Amino acid sequence: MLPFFGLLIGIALGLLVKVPVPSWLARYLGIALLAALDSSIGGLRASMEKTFNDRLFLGGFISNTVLAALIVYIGDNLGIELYLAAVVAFGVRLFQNLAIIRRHFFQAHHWE
Amino acid sequence: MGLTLGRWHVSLMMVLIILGFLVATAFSTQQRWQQRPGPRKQYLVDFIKEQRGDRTRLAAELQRLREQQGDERRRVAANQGAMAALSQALEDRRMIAGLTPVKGPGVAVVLGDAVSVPPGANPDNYIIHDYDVRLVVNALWRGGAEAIAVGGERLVATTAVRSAGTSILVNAKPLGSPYRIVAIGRPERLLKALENDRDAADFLQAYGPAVGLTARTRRLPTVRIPAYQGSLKMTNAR
Repeated sequence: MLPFFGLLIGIALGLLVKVPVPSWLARYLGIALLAALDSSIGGLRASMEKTFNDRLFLGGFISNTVLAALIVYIGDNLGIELYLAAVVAFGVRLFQNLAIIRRHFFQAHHWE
Repeated sequence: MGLTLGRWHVSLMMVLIILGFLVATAFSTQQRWQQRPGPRKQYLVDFIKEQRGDRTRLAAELQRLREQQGDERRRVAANQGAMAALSQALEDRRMIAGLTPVKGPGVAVVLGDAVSVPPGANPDNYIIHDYDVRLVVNALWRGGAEAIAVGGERLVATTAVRSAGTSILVNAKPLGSPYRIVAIGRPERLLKALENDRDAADFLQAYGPAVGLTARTRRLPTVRIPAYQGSLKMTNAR
C-alpha cells in the first residue's frame, strides 16, 4: 500500500508545485519519467521474486536516470536522436518486467 | 506479498513519489503548452498582427518615398537642364566677351614699318601708327569679325589700341612692328570690308606699298585667337 500512496503523493506534489519546465528540458523530463517508471516496475518485480535489494534498487534508479540524461544531452549536442536509445531500452525492459510480474501474479494465485 | 512494512516498501515509495511527481509535472506542462491559448500563443498572434500592420505601414511609406524620389529625380533633371542651359549661356557670353580662346576661318593682316626711310623724308610717314592699326581693326569689325587679336592680344570691350612712344599698346601690352592682326569671320566679307573701307583700302593698297610699309592681307582657313588675359576688375563702373 505504501508505494501506492507514494505515487499519489508524488502526483499531488507535481500538480500543486507546478514546476515550470522550459521546452529544452522536456526531453529530460520524459526520459527521467521513463527511468522512474522502469525502476518502479523493476522494483515491483524484484519484490515479487523476493530478491529486492534496497541499494541495488535505488542505485539502479539513480544511475539509470543519470545515464539516460547524459545520453539525451550528448545526443542533443551531436544532433543525433540518441535519447531514442534510452526510450527503447527502458520501454523494452518495462514490458519484459511487466510480463514477468504478470506471470508471478498468476503463479501466486494458482490461476495457471 | 504481505502488508508488512518492508524496507522495499519505503524504497519503492520514494521512487514512486518521484515518478508521480514527474508524471504530474509532465502532464501539467503538456497541458499548459497545448490547451491554453495562453500568453505565448496570444503573444504570437499579437506579434503577427503587429508585424502585418507594420508591413502595411512600411509598404505605404515605401510607396510614398518612391514617389518622392521620382519627384526629386525629375526636379534634379529639370535643374540639371536649367543648369546646363545656364552654363551654356555663360559659356556663350564668355566667348563673346573674349574670355575663351576661339578658332575659326578668317583673315590675317600684317602691318610692318618700312625698312628704310629716304633721306630728308619724315620718318613718321614710314612707320605703322596706332591709327593705322585701328583703321584695319575697325574695317574688320565692320566686315562682321567675331573675334580679333592684335599681336596676340584679344580685343575686348575695354581694349584700346593706342600709341605710347614708339610702340603701340594693345590691352596695355606694348607691341612692335610687324603687327599681326587676325580676325575670325567669313573671309570674303572681311576682305571685302577691307577693300570697301576707303581709308583702309587706300592705306593697304596705295599708300602703304608706295612708301614701303608692309601691308599683307591673307585669308586663313583656321585662325586661332587666344583668350583675353588682362584684368577684369572694374573699380568705378557700377
